[in-house]
Amino acid sequence: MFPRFRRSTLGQWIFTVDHKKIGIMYGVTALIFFLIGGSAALGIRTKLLTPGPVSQITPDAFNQLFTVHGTIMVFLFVIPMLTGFFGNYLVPIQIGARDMAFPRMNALSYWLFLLSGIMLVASLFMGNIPDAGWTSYPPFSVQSPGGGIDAWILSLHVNGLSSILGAINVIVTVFCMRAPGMTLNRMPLLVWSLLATSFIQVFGVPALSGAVTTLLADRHWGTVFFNPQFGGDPMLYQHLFWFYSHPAVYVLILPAMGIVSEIIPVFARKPIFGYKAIAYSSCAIAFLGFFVWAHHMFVAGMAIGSGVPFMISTMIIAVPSSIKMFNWLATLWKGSISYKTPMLLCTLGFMGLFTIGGLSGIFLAAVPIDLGAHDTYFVVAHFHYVVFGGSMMAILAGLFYWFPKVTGRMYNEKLGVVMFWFYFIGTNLTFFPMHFMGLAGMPRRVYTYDPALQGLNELSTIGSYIISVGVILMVVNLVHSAFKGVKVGDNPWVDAQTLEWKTSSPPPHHNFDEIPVVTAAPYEFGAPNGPTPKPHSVNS
Amino acid sequence: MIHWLTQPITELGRQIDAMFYWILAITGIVFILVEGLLVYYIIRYRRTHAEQQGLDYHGNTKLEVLWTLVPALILVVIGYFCVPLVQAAQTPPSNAIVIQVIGHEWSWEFKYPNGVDTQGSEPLRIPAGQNVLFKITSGDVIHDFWVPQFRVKQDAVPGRETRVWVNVTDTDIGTYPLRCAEYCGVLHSQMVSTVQVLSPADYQSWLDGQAKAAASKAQADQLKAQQAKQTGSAPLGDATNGQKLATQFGCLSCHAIDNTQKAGPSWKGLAGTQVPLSDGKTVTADPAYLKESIQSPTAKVVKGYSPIMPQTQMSDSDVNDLVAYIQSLK
Ligand code: HEC
Ligand code: HEM
Ligand SMILES: [Cu+2]
Ligand SMILES: [Cu+2]
Repeated sequence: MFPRFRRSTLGQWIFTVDHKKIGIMYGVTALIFFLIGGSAALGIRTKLLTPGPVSQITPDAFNQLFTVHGTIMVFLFVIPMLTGFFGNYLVPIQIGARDMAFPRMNALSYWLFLLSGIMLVASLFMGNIPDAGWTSYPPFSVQSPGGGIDAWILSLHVNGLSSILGAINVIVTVFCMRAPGMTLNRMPLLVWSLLATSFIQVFGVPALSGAVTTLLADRHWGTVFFNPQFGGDPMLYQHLFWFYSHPAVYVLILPAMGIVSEIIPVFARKPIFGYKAIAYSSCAIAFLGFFVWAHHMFVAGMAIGSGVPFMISTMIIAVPSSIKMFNWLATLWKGSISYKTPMLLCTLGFMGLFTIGGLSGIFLAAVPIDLGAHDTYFVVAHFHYVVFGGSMMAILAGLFYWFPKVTGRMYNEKLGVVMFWFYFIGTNLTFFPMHFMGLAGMPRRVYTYDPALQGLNELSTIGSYIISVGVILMVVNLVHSAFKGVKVGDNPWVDAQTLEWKTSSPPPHHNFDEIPVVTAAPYEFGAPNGPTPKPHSVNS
Repeated sequence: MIHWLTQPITELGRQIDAMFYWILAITGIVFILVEGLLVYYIIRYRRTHAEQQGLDYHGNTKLEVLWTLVPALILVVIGYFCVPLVQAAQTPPSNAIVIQVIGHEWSWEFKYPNGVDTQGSEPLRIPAGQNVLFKITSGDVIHDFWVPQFRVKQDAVPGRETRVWVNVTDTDIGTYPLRCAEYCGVLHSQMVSTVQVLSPADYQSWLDGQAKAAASKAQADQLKAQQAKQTGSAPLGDATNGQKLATQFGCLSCHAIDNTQKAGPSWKGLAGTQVPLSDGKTVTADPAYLKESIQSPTAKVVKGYSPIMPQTQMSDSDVNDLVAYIQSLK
């Protein structure tokens, strides 16, 4: 079909089944959705500068803003960025394969993802924006009039299909396409984390799809799954929703941890400490992640005591995450650390901020504390330290770390460091005060609040403006360097040892001229005597 | 300007706070340890020569075991000490005063043991020093009954009864905010009320007074209805009471009485005019239409507005009072 068009530049992108091109399309699309979702967040924060109503943003519009913000950030930015961009671009190349196992299915995943995004955003122009929060609990979501929620539901269906196809592709690729010598225990840790993530997607997404399908049926076809008047139960939806959406938060964080595990050894010039502990803890998290969902429902109407098993499982799942943190710290110990942008984002950024999100999670896991803290701004603070301090920092780190590989050009390092500080300071200023708002009694998803809390809210809003400056610097740096940056060779980081650095930048269509034979683990850095400089380097 | 935890006013609340401070101490130590090491390492081990290498060291199984088991142990201990608090929160004492709490979009209704039933912005009233059990449910969507000072909250779920029990300390008589913590629509953030913790004597006399007032109002309503039947005219509402109700039920957060633009149409001069509807028809704003608009808001939707007006449960005479109030706004 259309042979001429297929050969044009545009046609080459549209019809491509190359995992690298598909990955780049995922990345660019996800970044565009990040800008849309981020604008919604700025809208929320701007409204909350003052405690009372404002005429420019009505309560209705406010509810639409946080719904659109949450949905876009989770389903159209972080997940596609991590599994779509990093997963697609790096999994085949890091295991020494020429492409994904099912290249056409891979293209289909991308186009379905794009379609789901367009369906959600289209609701903005049909005047019926979804307004039931990213969780869309019935009966509210069943009663909410107009097509907004329907657009939301259908968008999640298509998005879920895209995720499942993508996940199957990663699993098959990892199990069947590894280069000779690439044993499971020689795989880069990012591949391990994406493998674990893919299993979560395959087992979790059907629960979400089931939940939203029944919602659609209740809305339009007279079923009563969630209608208590006829024996239905609104809590059923919450169980189904969280059975996917808690594991989904590990989809948001596991690949991020994989990225961090790639970057730290390279810039510390040290082998990763505890390779197996980090790899296997990803699998432990993926598995345990399916046994904690009801910690989102401690006050939702279960007997309070039924929360106890979920409290214990949640406490336990904190352990594999802390194992990773200790291993990264031990990797830094006696390293030779250079602070390029990706490393700043991984150390101070990811490790520094994710720790805060992880520790505040322990409060929320403790049922007696959560009876008070649930559905307050304390929760908003907690999960933004995880998704913004964690996932977002790692995504940025990964974008800059692999930028020279993808484009063949180097980004601007000075601008990168300045950007880091805007993100770092902005994140803390935006999200740290939210802990105190929550403890002082401010519920989440509120349009108006107690005027006594205005000071804290002002701080938070100023912080979000500082983040926006960081975002602008990021876009400028990426776009400008993609066209004007200094050209680089195969391995601009010199030390990096994973396979993608053993081919040209950008890699050729089939990745490697000759499939590499792997003979060692991916992080063989360091000298036997540690961080003292080699004698000859002092003299020379 | 630092706002910390609100003051707890029950014994259970104070115990939960003690737990909070324990966890804060433990996580605080971990926080200082991890962030301290992070900052120390990134300064101490920064690269000073271009060719400097790190230590060739791949791991240590003893350390791995140590930092798996120690956090696991600490966390399980935290969990263990939480269990008695969960038990206490879950088990209401047997001799409690039972108050029914019903969430509506967007106000709270309270039903007291002697049949007194308050709605709208009427505060919740409870006696200090006595066990009070709230049986919570919802008339429409999910809400959440939350008094921060109680420390315990529960969702108000339609078709389900959740429970919170409290025993407010005698010395904590006073007024506290009551909020909805579960997102429930347009006015979720304004679904606020208050809890008045009264001395048992004050509580009793308020309750008795309410019961008496309710009885005499019922009598008056009956009388009015009878009169209406006899004369054949529409029952006349009481505009002054309607004005009070409009504030109580939160109508005025969407409806202006001076033609300013809000989420709903202004009431000024509404009565008797021709109202364009979203299906293209028009209708006269007579008492019957106004009544229908209040009782089933989505039956006829005014052109240019979204059908967001909530259905409010109220008695027939309240509706008549509201209609009379709207008619009085010339
Ligand atoms: C969330 C905002 C909201 C609240 C609260 C609300 N309304 Fe409305 N009301 C509306 C909107 C929007 C309309 C127009 C759409 C419609 O007809 O449903 C409306 C329409 C009406 C109308 C018809 C007006 C006309 O111009 O024809 C009446 C009468 C009315 N409301 C009475 C009330 C009363 C009484 C209350 C309090 C019990 C109340 N409303 C509370 C939003 C609200
Ligand atoms: C750009 C910086 C960001 C800012 C300033 C920001 C701000 C906010 C605020 C203020 C809320 C609370 C809304 C409310 O409860 O009233 C919120 C909710 C939320 N945010 Fe963000 N956020 C940002 C980035 C992110 C990212 C990267 C994610 C990725 C997953 C994310 C996911 C969510 C989710 C899931 C919610 C809950 C939405 C809901 O309640 O339905 N946010 N955000
Ligand atoms: Cu969870
Ligand atoms: Cu609410």
